[in-house]
Amino acid sequence: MSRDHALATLCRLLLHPRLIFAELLLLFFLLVLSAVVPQATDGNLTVLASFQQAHPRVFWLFDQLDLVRIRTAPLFLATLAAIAASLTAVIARQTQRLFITRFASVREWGILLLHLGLILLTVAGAMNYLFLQRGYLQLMTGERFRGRANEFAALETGLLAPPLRTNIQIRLDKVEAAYWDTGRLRRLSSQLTLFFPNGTQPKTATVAINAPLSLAGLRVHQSFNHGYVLTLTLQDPYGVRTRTFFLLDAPAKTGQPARAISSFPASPYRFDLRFFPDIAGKTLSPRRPLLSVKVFRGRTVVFNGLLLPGQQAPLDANGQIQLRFEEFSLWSGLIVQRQRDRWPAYLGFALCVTAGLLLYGPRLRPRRNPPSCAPS
Amino acid sequence: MTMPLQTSISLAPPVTSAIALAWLATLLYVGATICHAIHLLFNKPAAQRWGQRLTGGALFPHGAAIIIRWLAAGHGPYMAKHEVLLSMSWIAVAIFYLWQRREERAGQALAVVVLPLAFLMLAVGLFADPAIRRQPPSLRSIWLVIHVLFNKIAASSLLIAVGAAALYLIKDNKPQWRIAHRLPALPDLDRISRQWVGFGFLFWTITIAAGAIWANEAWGRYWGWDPIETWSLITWLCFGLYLHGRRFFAWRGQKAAWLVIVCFTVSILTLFLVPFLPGSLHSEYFQ
Repeated sequence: MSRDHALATLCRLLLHPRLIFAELLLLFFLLVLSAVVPQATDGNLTVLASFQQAHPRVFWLFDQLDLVRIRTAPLFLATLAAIAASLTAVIARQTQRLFITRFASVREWGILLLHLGLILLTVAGAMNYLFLQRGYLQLMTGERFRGRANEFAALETGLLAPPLRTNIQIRLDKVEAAYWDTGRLRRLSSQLTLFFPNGTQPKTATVAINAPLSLAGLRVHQSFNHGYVLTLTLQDPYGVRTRTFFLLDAPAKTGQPARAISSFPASPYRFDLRFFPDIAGKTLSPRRPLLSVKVFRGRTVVFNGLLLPGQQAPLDANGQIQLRFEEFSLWSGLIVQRQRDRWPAYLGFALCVTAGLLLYGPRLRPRRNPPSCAPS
Repeated sequence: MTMPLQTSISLAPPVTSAIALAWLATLLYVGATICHAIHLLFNKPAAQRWGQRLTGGALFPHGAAIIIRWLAAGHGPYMAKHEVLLSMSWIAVAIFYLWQRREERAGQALAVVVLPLAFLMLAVGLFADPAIRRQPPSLRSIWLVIHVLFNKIAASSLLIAVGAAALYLIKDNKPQWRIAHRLPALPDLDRISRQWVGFGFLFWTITIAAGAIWANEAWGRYWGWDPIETWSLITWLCFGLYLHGRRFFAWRGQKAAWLVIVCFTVSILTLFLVPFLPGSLHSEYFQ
């Protein structure tokens, strides 16, 4: 069997209507299933966690059947690959029709461009899936990211890509957050200093939401996540001080405190922290900050009170153990990503739009023969 | 930290005048529907002409309401039920009106389905909280405009497609009804439904592509499996299955009409119910 013959057979198989329909139907059912059953790949994992908590047995069953990982299951990926193969075959057939048999109607061109656009969008998605290198950073003002993979709070790595490491170091100098009167975020940006290897002069740059920074093969995005950093010091009876940073999310509304419940490292104490950025409750900008703190030792409350920055409070009757609210600053969430070509997605988008114009543009002209209204 | 803005423009005079104009448009749409229904029932060409005039006339106060609100809010109709439904219904009626001028006979009949659905959408929007929402920084992108505009066009196209499918079912199942005789021929209704599904499918494709590119620009990835992203893909596949079924297996008639209704229901679920799921990035636009 010649190579051409084998290709033609494969093309015929991939273009078989029942196969194409079955591929689409299978993908449809898998997607519906993944939309109904909470997934481990969901953007928001709290849904999965609460489902597990509410229905532990059902979750166990779903877990055993791999139903919580549908979108990374071999069947799902194989279906996508089969659809991509069929799309390629459609493109090959349409190209043949248009260039070899010269059967060139505007509609045929539209169909070709639409499928070409879809395959390019699929390629963009596949490249992301295979080669994604993306990390999420939580930096406090003044903190420096040294470029190591273990410094990321979360890492997303494609199937064929190594974990993200950078040779650029990033220091967060300043966080600027502005809020609407309702407390909703209006603007968020981070001022960064970038340190390059080989002694190149450091650079300063600003990233904001929807305004990422591109340099040296990296893209740095500003995430929505930001908040306050509380610096607390615990002094033990021997005078040894332990300093800890608590990173609190900015609350969603004005008048609400930023809240965290956490244990203090290397101590028997557990803290319930409520940080009010503005005592008047009118803004989320920390202009008149106040910390309400409840300290537990076991189940006993050893301190419950308010602290201003610089103030301290005793945690025992003798006043030998002291808690001090040193200062507060801000933290910012940054997304660092290895830059890849974006042209497949842009070209795919442009081809889909062009296909739309070719398929439906001519129909916008007035019809010569209006449809009949006679009973059929 | 910068100072927050303290200006409050919720329900300012421009907003109330925009609401009044939208109500005027609703009344005109109701009038237009009645005129089209009279024509369909009693074959009164004058009523049909008035129906068209009222529809065209209603687009002006409706459009003005959207523009006034746009200027007052400082952003386009991207957020909250009120402005999303106001703009979506305007685009639906505008597309229908333009098409109706091209295919007058079919348009007359379809008006009794499409216009009520559009003014229902408008009325639901008017009963929703009209307070102006502040635009979050993530929604300041040219890709948002493309994403939202194409989505509204897609949804409007599907509205016309479902109207044609509903009329098909009425004519085919109840041929004894008086209006059935005045409806376009079954093949015409079938063709109209297919064409609008194709148009809507293409624009839905562009909506998804624009959203993915925007997500990549903003967050560094194309797809995050947000509930609306998943459901939007499901809707797209639903219409894709319909179109491929028609092409490969010659699905016609009632089967195709019912499938359009099912697909349209899925799209309604995606557009108006899924945003209420917890943790959706898209909740901002419709809640």
